[in-house]
Amino acid sequence: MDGLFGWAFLVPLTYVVAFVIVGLAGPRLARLEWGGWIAVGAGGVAMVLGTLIGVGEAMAPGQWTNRQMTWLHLPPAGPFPNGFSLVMGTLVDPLSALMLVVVTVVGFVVLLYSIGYMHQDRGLPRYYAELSLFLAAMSSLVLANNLLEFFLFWEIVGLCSYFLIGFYYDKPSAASAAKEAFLVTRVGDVMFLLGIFIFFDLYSGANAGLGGWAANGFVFAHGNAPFLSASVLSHGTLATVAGIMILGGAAGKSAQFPLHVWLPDAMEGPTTVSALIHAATMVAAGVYLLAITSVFLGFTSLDDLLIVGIGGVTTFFAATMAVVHPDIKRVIAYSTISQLGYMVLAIGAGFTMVGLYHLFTHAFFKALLFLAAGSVIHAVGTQDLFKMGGLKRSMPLTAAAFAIGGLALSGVPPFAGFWSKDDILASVYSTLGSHPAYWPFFLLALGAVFLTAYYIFRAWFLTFSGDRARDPGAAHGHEGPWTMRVPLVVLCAFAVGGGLLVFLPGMQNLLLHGAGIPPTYGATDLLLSAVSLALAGGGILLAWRLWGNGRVFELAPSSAAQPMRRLLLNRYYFKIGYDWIGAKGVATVARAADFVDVYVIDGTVHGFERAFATLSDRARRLQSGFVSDYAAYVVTGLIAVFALLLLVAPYLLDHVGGG
Amino acid sequence: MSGLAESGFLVLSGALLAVGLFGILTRRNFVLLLIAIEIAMNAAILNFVYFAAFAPTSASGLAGQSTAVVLVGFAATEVAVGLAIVLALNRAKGTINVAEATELKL
Repeated sequence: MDGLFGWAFLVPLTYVVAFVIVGLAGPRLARLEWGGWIAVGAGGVAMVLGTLIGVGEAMAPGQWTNRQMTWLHLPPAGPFPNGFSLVMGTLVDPLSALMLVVVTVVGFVVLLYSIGYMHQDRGLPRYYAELSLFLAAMSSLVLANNLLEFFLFWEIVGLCSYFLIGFYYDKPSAASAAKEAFLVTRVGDVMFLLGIFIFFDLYSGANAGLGGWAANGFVFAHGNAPFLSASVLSHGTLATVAGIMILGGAAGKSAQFPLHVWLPDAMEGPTTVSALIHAATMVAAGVYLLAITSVFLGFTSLDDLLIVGIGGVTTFFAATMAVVHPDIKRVIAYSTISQLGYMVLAIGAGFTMVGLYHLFTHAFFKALLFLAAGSVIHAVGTQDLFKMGGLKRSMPLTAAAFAIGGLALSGVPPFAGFWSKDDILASVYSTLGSHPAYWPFFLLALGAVFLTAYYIFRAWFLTFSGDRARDPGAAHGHEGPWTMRVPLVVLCAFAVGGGLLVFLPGMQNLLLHGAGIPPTYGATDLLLSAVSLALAGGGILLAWRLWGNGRVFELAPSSAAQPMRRLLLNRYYFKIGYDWIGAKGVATVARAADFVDVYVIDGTVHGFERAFATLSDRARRLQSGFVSDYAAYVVTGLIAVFALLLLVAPYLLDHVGGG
Repeated sequence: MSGLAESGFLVLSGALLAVGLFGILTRRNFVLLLIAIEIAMNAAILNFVYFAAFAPTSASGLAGQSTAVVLVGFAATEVAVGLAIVLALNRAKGTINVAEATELKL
């Protein structure tokens, strides 16, 4: 299998080839769905390669394969006695293999679905090219073998997200959402970069082992172990700050509190984009960064507390907003933020692979939910939950798919989400003894279970149950073409069976890296599962009571809960707050800077201009054209020279004569 | 050099120079301008003659006098050129008023 892992770079390369072909020749390929089938083909090849690598890594426990090329080498100088190299390479280890499977499989499924969903849309070559570029960057990010390469592809992924969110660029809300996404994640990216700098400072020279971490190109691994051994990791304040910076970067990309504001607005992009980027892959990159850092670099215990805190708070906080939202895509978007919070929580508690396991299952059932929602939107033409209704008769496959996704999300056995989510809860619970500070966040996560089940089934009931649509003007439901149905079925299979994969011996190898899943469940774990199941069941029941069978639950205008409802609908006024900061704070600074630019800097330049103009004007008047004036100048000069000579004469005579 | 400082020849050549300078600076008639230039030049030539009279050796005295003669020739040449310019100016502008020839400027 070692030979195969050396070819891992072919996965991103396949996508790049698709990008180039579709980008250049797409407009001429009308019969190939404007390049769509080429992208799907490349996606298929990449999926096969990716799964092979994933399966291979699962069956080869503890084998990490590192392949790299040095693209810059500086001779020894200063703090680098052995020279300094920068490398580009791939690292196949359990973390990256797991992520690779997610990226390539969900990528292929979404590409196939796009053929049907985006049919007859405008700008399709651009769409498929951008999707292929995104997949190339995402798979490269996952396979990156050093921190700088990781950051490079992280940025490219953000760029593609900008392109794809703003795909319908002539819609002002879409263009604005794309900008917002890029800027908010930028805040995180700056923090990430600072974190890289601090790690560089922490782990250079004598502290780094094996000749220096930075000098070796910031690589993650050496042989089958992290490059930076645990004994080398420092625990000082600077290390904590570095961890906070990395957390900031991850929070930006994964839309965690307080940088979560861009994800709901990112739903302006096509639903397939939401499924791929904002459910399964790009937002997962932030979680992956946390995983990478915890394994290869190191978090201090204060960092862990912060991570747990942010994860726990986000989980609950996002779930509350999903509870009232009328737009089906945005409900699912908040769900994503909430579930990412679970993963972050797990990693902070020290259970990296448990968090990644949830990432694995979540990718599939979240993509399933998005694609099912896309199927509905494609048929009915609206995203407003309150205009839908009664679709389960006309769209049985979609209704079943959405229900399966919802059950998986709620953590109902035997669906995938149950295994991973309960693992997180069980793992975090087991740390509560030694980390009592984690209690509130654990309870928040537990509460979110109830809310999760409620909001997703509220969406299901509003969309599918009842006899007819709430809005008579809504179009009738119908299932999509096979290119849309097959992906749904495939993802259903993963949502159902994904959890059971853990019982395969190979998967245990993949997942038992670091703190693993307890191979046997104890009594407390079963109790906890029972509690979460009860919460989920309660949530579903409440949703049925309020929204099932075509019922519409209206909150009385005078009800005490109305202000709460407004708060949630307005997303806790976060966006308004950020806009205010931007308008008042940043704009004031910008105005001041503009003043300096116009009056001080430009003023200086104009001042020089005026000075020279005046000077030359005066000088020009000396050339009067009158001979007598010129003669006067000659005479004046002559007198001046003589006067000078008279002054200087004594000194000249001293040097020339003898005194 | 006993007579150098006492005799008033320096005053004479100085006065001639001043007259010539005044003429250069103020005359508007081109011919009168040439005359003034000539006066100033002759003042300088006078100086050569004067210093040659007090020369320490006969050779340097001869040198001074012959320089003066050469310079007179130069002066004549220069006046010839100047008169040619007067004629050209008159042909171009119909006047020999120097104040009307002001095109040598930006």
